[in-house]
Amino acid sequence: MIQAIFKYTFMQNALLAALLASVVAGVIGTIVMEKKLVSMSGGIAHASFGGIGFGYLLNFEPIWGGLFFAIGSSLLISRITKNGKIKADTLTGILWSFGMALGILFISLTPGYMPDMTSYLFGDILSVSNSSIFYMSIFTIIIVVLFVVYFHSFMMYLFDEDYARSTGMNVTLLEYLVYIMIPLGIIVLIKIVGIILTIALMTIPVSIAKMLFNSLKQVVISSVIISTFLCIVGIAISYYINIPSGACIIIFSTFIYFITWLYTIALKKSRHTHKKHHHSE
Amino acid sequence: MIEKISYKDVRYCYGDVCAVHEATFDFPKNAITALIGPNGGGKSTIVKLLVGLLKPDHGHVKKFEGATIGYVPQATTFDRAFPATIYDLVLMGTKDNKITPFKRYTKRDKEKACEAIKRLSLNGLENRSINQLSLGQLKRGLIARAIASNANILVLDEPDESLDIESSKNLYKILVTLKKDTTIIIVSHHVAEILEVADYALYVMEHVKFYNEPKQLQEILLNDGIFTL
Repeated sequence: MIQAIFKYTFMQNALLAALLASVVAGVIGTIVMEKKLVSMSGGIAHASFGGIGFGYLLNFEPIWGGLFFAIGSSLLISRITKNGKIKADTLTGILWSFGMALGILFISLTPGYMPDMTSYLFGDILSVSNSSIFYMSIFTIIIVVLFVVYFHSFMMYLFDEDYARSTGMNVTLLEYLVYIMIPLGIIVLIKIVGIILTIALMTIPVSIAKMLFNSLKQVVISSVIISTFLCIVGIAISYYINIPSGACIIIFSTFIYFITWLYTIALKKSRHTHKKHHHSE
Repeated sequence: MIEKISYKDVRYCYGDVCAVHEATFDFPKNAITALIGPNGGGKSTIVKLLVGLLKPDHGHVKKFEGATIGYVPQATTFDRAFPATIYDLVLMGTKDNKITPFKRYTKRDKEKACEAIKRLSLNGLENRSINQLSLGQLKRGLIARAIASNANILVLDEPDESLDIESSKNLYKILVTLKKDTTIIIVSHHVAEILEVADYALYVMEHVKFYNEPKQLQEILLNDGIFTL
């Protein structure tokens, strides 16, 4: 595989894309996990399929359509559910399937042969083009810069929104930023693992990091590193045994998640028995 | 210049159910005012209207000039699995509310946080994750965060809820030392204990009644058999 990396641009792009996606998974994953927006993010990812279909129908780059639908549904969920009359969960469910339905409709209306949608649904890291790397980099940079520059405010908002609001902080502004950053991140992740599997990459690395660290900074940084590791090993496995890369990354990640979970349980137990020994001595 | 926080004709309803009806009263400055009353009577609503988490349907809440609020909510407003230590928690209180780029904690902020931690007798626990604290310790952590913010209004929503009587009394002692430059508003169910230390009391049961003498309220409640000492 090492030789292939030097030899083939597609392998270099794959690794670069994995790195970008991991940065997004760490930052956006932390936001999504702490704000309990996992299912909403799933909804946004699926709603973007409508935009992708729209791109095919009108013959423009599908990912821009996807981005437009993703941001639209994200802002729609955040605004409409604000007054509490419609539950975010309900609206998420509706947009989730509505987006998918629109996508299918637009694609079936598209003249000519039916385009292959599997790369959008399941991701295809080995077919990432230079132009995709370009827009992925831009989105990742926007996300990272905003998060790093306003880290302190984000931390307050993520930790205790009520408290932040009570200090007079402009929480609404942060909310808007978050609801724009999430769809940007999702579009980056779609290229790697596809619409259906984005939630996994947003939740698994952060969940592993949270089992090991107890400060927000450590969790964000370590989940970027963990995600990079998971993606690269996943790609390597898929390269050698020739199965789809997105699925490979997610299955391997889930496996590592459970290993870490068992490890932390064992660690707690050994500490406990150690304490007992200590007391009985 | 007003030297108090005043509620004028304030009404707030959750749908058809009104928690606060046309309430008019004041919280005097630099004193401890206790909010007493049954569950669901509207105490938390009054407090939330003050800190700005709710906006009144009618009437208004006016604060004195230069008022800054330190709010200690009932512990459940955040997720305890959040990756933060008690030191992180208190440190968060030291910064102002502006969303400015590259905010960093200064040496002074860190000192302020340590000071607040000490005042609430949390020293030694600084690096413990908030997930591993008892509920009582967490409450003290939240009060430390509010104190670290240099707020001149401290709003405490049942800070003694999970504390035993002894720890509650210690907490009240700390509050008494703060009141010379802080307006303290405290919701509590430890009626007898809080009325001992409060300067003023507010009985909230749909309607609001203000008592200049907490003792007076205590006697009324005793006579009505609402609580026993």
